[in-house]
Amino acid sequence: MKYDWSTGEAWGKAGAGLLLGTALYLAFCSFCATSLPVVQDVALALGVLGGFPVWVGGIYYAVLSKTVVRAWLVLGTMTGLLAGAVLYVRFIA
Amino acid sequence: MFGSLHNCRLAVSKLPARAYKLSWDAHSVTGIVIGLALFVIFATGALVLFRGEIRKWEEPKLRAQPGERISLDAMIQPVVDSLSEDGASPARLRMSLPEGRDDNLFVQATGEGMKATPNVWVNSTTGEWVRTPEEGAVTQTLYYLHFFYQLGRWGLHLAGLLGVFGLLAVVTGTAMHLDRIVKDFFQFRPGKSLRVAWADAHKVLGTIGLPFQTMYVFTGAYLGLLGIVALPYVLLLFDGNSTDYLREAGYYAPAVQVDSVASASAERPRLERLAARAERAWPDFDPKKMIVHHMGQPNSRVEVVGYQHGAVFGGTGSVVFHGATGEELLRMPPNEANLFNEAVQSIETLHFARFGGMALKMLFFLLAIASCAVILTGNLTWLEVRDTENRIVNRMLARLTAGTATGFLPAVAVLFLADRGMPEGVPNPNWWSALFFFGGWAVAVVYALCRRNVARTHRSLLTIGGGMAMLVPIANGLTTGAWPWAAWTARQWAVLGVDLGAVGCGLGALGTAVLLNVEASSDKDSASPPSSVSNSASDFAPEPTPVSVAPD
Repeated sequence: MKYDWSTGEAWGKAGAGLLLGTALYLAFCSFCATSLPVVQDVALALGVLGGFPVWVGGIYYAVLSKTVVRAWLVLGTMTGLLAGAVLYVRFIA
Repeated sequence: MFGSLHNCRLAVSKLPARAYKLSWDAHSVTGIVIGLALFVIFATGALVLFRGEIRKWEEPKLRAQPGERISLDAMIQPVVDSLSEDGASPARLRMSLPEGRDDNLFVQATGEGMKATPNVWVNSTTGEWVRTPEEGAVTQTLYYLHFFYQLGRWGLHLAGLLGVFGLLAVVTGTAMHLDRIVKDFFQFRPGKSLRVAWADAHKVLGTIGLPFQTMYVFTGAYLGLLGIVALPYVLLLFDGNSTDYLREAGYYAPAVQVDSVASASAERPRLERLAARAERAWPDFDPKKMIVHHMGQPNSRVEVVGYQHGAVFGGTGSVVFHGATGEELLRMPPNEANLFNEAVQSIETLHFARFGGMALKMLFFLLAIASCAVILTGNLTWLEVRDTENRIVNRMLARLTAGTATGFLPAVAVLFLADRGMPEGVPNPNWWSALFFFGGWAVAVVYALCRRNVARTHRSLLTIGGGMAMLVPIANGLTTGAWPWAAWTARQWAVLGVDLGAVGCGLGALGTAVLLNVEASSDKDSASPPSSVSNSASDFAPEPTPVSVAPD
């Protein structure tokens, strides 16, 4: 390894990347499907074409983030915001 | 060497050092974990680009014959009659239409009263047909292995996940080399240390194949994870109805109301005519699929789905007919396809190489082989860097790489030869083919794991695999009479192509085996470990060569 990983850092970032990266992907797809002010087919296309870059971007962000806490916090917040927007549109708006 | 490596470090300083190190680790760990599985996907993908040709090679009944193409109805009716129990009609009959006289028709019939038969192919000249799992074992084994369908639906999803992590490997690798991607494209130094040579090869081939690999891991991820990717949309937009999702994505024609006619005409519309009418619906429209719902029923409908001729990026158009009266119920031109349809169908067109003809397939074949080489050189670079550590896990990875990757060649050759050698009427030939293929591959892996000298393992497996590949045309000629010159005379280009491809692969493997220098590493595994090894030291350590290409 080129970087000096501690055990906690390796597991923490891998966990954030794999779990929250996937959650972010699902939240992004759901957000595209429900909350974007575009017609349905455009929303679906954005979700399909943009979903994987978001997923991989989430994992890569977790790897590059300064600390494990920041990785969980940033990815978790983004996932929460997207999921919140979906819930808002589905159940409140 | 130290100087040049130092310069390389300086050249990539545009990515901050910490980000570079982290990217490197993410890239290498991803590559090591998924590399061999991705190798299998790319290697089988290279072969199944020609699955139509391989199917003709393995099934003489599907080979091109002189004569005119028979009508669609004449091809389909015997299949339906044979598959139906007590005269039942299929609830859904799905067909991929033949593109030319030599192309085969694919048929899939499902519904109550139909025998369980996944796939049927019909010779469009003779009307003879074959079906899986009784026939077509070679193609099916390779095709299923391409997305690990031997493990069922979860194998498919696993292949999709590998696509996602393949995308991660591509992104991290590109990020590290982005600022010197042009330089990397031209830099190959086989005369330097083996680690530098493998790393150069990895970067050169990775740069050449970057668009290809990016496209394939992306589209592969979509196709593998489709069942999961679609879930949020199906639940949120289509009330849990996945058929509506597939309709929106252009796999089927839009929904249309079909009224039952009082009584189905005794002379129901001929499918051949419906296909011809659909083809005339728009200029340059290529009908690709025909789906008959409730065949023979008063409310039957026939969907013809196709593409704009030669278009790479674009959606599907469709024409829907009443299956009992032939009345046209709906017409949706491909140039009015919605954006989602266009996105998904473009993914499919790219992934299945449905454009550009045979020349593009051959280019994709070479790029897929280059992608396999990218994966292997990545593995070998990792191993070379850690060569002085002499850890058992690295030794095992080196041997596993040899067994899995190089052992794939003899396993495929065994699969082809076993198919030719299998007696007519043997029960469950698919099982036997799988046994020969996976058994042969397992033997190669065990052999590689047991042998100390990895370079010799590579050479042995290349020699065995290359030799066996050279036997493929002979086995074909002996068992079917289709020697290359006979195939040429009969204009059976698919058979000739597979035979020549096997000879080409065999010669390539034998040539590589001859060029391998195995002497330098004869005692490598028994070498004493160094007294102290650090990451930085191992990066620059000149090592003996486990596998090397002989210098000019």
